[in-house]
Amino acid sequence: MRSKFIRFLTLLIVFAVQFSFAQEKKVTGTVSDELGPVPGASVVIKGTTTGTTTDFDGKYEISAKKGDVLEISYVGIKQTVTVGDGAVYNILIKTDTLEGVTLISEGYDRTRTRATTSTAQTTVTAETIQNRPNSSVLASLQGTAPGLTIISSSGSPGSAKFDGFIRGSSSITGSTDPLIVIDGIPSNSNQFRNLNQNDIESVSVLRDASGTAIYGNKGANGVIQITTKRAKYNSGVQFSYDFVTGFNTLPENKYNMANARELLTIEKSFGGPGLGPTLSDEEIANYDINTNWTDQFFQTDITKQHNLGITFGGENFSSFTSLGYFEQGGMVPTTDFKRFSVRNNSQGKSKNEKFTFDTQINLAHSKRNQLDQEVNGGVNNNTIQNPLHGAVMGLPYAAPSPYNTGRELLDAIGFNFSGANDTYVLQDILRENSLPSWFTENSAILNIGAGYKLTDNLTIRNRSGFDYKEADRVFARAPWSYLALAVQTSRGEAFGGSETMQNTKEFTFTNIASLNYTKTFNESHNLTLGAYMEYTKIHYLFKTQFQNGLNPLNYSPGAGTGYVPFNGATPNSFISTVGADKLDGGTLSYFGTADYEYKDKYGLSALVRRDASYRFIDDNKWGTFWSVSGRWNIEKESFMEGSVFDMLKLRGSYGTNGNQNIVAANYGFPLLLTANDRVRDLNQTVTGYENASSSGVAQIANTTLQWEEVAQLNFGLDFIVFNNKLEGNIDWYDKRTTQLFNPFTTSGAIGQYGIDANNGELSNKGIELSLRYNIINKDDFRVSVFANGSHNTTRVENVIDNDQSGDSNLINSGFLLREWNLIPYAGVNQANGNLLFYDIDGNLTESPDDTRDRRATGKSFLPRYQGGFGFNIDYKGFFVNTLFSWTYDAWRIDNQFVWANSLSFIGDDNMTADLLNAWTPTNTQTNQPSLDSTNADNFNTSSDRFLYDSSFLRLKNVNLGYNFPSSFLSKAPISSLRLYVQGENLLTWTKWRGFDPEAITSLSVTNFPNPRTISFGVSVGF
Amino acid sequence: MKKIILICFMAMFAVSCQDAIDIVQDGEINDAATFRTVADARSFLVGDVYRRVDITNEISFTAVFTDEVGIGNNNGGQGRELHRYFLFASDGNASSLWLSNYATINRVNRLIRGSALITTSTPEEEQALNSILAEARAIRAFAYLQLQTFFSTNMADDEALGVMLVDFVPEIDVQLPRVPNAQIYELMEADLLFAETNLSNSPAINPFANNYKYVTQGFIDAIRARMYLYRKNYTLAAQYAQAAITNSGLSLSNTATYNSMWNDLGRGETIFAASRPSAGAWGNIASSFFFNTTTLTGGCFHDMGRKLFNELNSRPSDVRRINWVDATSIFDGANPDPADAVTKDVIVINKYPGKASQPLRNDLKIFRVSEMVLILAECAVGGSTPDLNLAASLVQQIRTARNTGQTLPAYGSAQEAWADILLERRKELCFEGHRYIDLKRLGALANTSIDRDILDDNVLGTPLTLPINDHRFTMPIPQDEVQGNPTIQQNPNY
Repeated sequence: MRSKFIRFLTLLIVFAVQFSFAQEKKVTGTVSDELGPVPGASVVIKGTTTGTTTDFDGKYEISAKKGDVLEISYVGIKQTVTVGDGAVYNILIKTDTLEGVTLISEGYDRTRTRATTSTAQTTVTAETIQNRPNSSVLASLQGTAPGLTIISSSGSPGSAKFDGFIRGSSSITGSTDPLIVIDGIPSNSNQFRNLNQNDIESVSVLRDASGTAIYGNKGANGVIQITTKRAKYNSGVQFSYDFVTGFNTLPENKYNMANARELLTIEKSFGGPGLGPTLSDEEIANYDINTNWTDQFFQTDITKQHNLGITFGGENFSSFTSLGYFEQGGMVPTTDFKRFSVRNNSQGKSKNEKFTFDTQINLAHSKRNQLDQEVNGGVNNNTIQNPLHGAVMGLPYAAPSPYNTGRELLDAIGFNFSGANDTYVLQDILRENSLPSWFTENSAILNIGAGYKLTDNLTIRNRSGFDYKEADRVFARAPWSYLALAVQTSRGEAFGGSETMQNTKEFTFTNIASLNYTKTFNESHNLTLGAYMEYTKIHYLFKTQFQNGLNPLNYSPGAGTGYVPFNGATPNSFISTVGADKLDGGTLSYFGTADYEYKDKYGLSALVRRDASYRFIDDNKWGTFWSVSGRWNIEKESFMEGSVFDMLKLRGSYGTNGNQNIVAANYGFPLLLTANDRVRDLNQTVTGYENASSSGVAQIANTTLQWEEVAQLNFGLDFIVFNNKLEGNIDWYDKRTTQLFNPFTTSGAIGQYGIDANNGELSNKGIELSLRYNIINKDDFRVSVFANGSHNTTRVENVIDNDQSGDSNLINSGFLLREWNLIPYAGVNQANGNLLFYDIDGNLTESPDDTRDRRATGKSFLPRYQGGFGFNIDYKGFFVNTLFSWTYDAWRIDNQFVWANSLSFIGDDNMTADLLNAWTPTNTQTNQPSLDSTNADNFNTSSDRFLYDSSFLRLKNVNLGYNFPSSFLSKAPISSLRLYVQGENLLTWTKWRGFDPEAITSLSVTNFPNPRTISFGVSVGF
Repeated sequence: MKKIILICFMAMFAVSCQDAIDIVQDGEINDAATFRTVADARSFLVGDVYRRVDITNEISFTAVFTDEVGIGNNNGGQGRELHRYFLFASDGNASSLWLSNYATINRVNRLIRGSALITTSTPEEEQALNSILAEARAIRAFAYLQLQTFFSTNMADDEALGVMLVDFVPEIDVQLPRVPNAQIYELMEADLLFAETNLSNSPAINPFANNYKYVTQGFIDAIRARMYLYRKNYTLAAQYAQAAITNSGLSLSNTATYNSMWNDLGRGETIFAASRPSAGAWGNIASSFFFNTTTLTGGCFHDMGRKLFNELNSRPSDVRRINWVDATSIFDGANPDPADAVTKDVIVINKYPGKASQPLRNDLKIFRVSEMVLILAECAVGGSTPDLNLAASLVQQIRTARNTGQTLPAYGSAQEAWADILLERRKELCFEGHRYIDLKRLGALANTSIDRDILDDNVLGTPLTLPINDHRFTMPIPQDEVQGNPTIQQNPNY
């Protein structure tokens, strides 16, 4: 075991004495594997302790003399090269005994090479993810893989509001989130705020049945496999330290909100409530106050990350340990996110390499101060309690609140929320400790895997995952806050305020046992067989307590102090309530796989999986899922000899998956625990006849409940041409969900006309393309470009059609999923300034019928096209990496902008300055209705007047920096040094007028935009 | 060694892991937990059977479709299409009327199924349990009577199309056909016989014995009387109408008692009423006509039909004229202009005057003595030996009780008798859900049909009547049922 420290010391001594042999020369080169440069490979002169390690770009520099043998070790594999007359020795290391290419995980310890996989998959490596200023790794995946859509409907740091789609939405009511597998253990969560993205080695996105069917009842929505970092054997001890700091800012909107004078002018023209009509034109022209409420409520905030990594690699044991700290301000006062995480990933093997084991331990603690709006959709449209909304709508001619406390505010405004008062209340809410609202989360994840090679052909393995999470929530109205005082006053109570404390504990145990057999016959036939059993059990306990009445004398948020005890004399005040919810769930699966290969040219795989879920009963308890797939490596055929193709592979797969999560879980709730009792008749206590306490039916059982079934056909082509210069994948798929869990019509004989049941069909069809072109690949100058894109159409094929003529988003046979169903807006009636619409017969009307005149638009808020592209340039240590992401053909109603246009809010809220161009008898050529219009506030969300194309092109990430050459560092006690600046969400091109086009939701007023972040980072290795 | 490891490993596969997939959440209230004791059965009876007894849909539909209401001064579209005879399978009234009664039937069936889980240990317990089932089955019979009344093509014909027969707890994918009336009647008769035999009058066994808001012998008899009347079995109808009066110990109320009955201050002549207490979340019957209060300014979207008012108004001393027309009503002279009568001529319905702190809420009077008396009158005309004088004297009993000041009628023919009985039913039973079936049953015999005034609708072209054999005198099987039960037979011409 060569310690890097020793080599390091040796080097120091060498430098100290300035001693060198005359015949020594400087030898340089790049160590790379099939995927590119390999950082951290060790380069040692054989028989000596002289050595170095490659830097971030796989480069090394060492003094050696002719005849020396350089030993390059990486992942336990050693390769040598003899130094001759030249000075540059580039080394392509073979990381795999089969082909010299990187292994691709296909789930459950199954790996393939890139040449032999028959799966539609994309692997994203650490470079794309690490040090990005995103608290969730999911946010960093947007634009990196074709067919993968990441929706963050809140850019608030640490938010749980992430949704992902792989190849569109496979379900209507059920979970659409891809299965996230972390280090081989399928996760049961949809929230990963405690996962440090700098711990991640790679993320692979599996899209077709060949990749997902092995995950049976969990893989229907595609699979994202996350592998955390591991140390390589024989890699010595290495340290790395990363520091990133930067600032986040709120992106701007293009609502053209009025400034004070503009708003006063609008109010005056409108002649309704507000300050404007009371002022003369001159007074308006000289009006001095102009408050930018967005600046009042949102400020530039700091983001900070520290990551320390220690790897140790011995002959038979290696470990990776990391300490991480992440901090991000939420831009809105009182919101931020902080995370501390520790990880240790170890692995070892017996001397004869028959026994292997690995463990991954991850402990993390995070605290997130958040807005009530994050978990309470009820305040979305509330200018008083939702700063996202209040900041836009605040009156610019009002000065910021002159009131320093909730009491002062209450004394001044009472219960009158008109004018600027609502905004003043919002200011009070956002005061420190006014409405404390936080989550803390402690998590511990332990995975243990072990394998034993019984014979050369037969291996048994077992992997266990223990996933424990405990979250505490505090949400309070402090007794000194305006809201508490207002309620207290109106109810005439001695004390106001309230505090909710909640605790959630969640434990998931997963065990996967497997037996694998592999044998090669006659050197050309290879057969691999696998048998697996997977067991999952989850326990969940939620407890909540609520106290009404807090004593400001000693109330402290979350401390349990200041609780005013219940007093029989005031029976309706100071009431505490408690509640709890305990849930259990589990699944059990058996499955088998068979893979056959002939001479690396042909491969055929099949698998069958039997799954049981606690959710279903009788004949539906067990379901069977299967897949077959094949590949043909055409480049290996004799007729391809001498062609430009380094690889040309045709793939095909067909298979089925089940989606047992038939009811989607709320953000942060375990996926496996929704719909946990639907198969049973349940009763409940009710207020009965004559108000007697009694019992009644709570739920009528659906005993026929079963999996949603997803069947997918996929054809793909993988190619590498022109000496590894251009590579790419093309995929075509047809994915069909049947047995959709949906409202189902029943006979009234069961006591109700409908029940949610399995029926209906949904399809996703599309194509995907991904390309990478290495334009220049020289030692000190490399340029590559990459792009991926996909087209997907999600269509409802067959559901029980009901009358949706008045609905805005259709779920009806033959239509796009949630297709917009709207009245066409025709423009402003130039005769009178009213809005004009087209009725169903195509005639112009000012008063369309909200039901009859709607029609399907062919537009959906789910983007039909999306993708990413970028380039990497590396010149003599300077580098620029970019990632752009884009969507096309996505349509959303900007209801935030509806508010800014609503004439009925004039006087109470700010308006868009577009209203200055309102129709008047002298200004008829305008698309802005008259301020006297009788219908301007109607049909705003039932017509397409505010339906905007939310397609966008965004510079998602740009990273610009410099890697110091090892020659420069040779006198410093470090082996590598990188400095960089990066920008996240820096530039966006879109027709969307709101803060953020990226949130893929039907309406806009609920979305906390993704921040724009500029950060500076330094990475040191030693 | 390798073999041992392999065997151990294979054993892991075989080990039962059922605990992961056989999970019932803690604290679930299933039937086994719900039905342990006789008290549990009563709890379910009170909580999910009695609670569902409701004739609001019947009252509302009947009033709007026939000639009981006109368009009120605050009508924003409520009931207008139905008032203009637009009656299709998609009609919401048909849908909720059908479902409401089948839901009641479903809960009775669940109670019967659940009660089988209860073991009784004493004869008293067994009696109590049987008494509970008696109440439940009587309510099931009543629900079937309601369904038959509105959906059977011809109740008097045992072979005509009835409704679905559900005397079990069906699975969610059940699709049942309609059966001939005879099969429904058979179940109803069996239910009522069981109820009569097992209903206990002992307060120790049946805590609500002889309480008119619960099932009593009078209620059972009254269901039978109405059912047999509609089936034109006049002998049994008369027998049970008389029994209902006798067994309930009631007689026609005098004017004061009558009035306090409608104000829910006393039982009056009520044989059975569905209780709607002030406290709690209960339906408001006057919400069929008003938004807020039963006054001119209370958001009146249906007012009293002009012809009905004229009939009541022709006898100024009639207690029904005095109390059922609210004092805030406004009249636009002797000959109101139909064009603006909706706002200028508003006859405010006050049959449901509300109760303490609930201005729109009243108990739903489902069976009253006056209905039984009028059944007796019909039986006298329709029986095998018609007795028109008896019929006249029975009708006169009502008129005397209501203080109309009329003299004993003399019927020259059966048709005259039918017409006069139908007229008295129109007045006495208005807004109680009778007019629709009464016209269907008696319209042809009395040579009359829907009888509206031009003032009843602001769309002046709305027909004032419908042919008495129009298909709309039977409700459509609701589209909501057809969607879940596509092969069910629709009523003619829908």
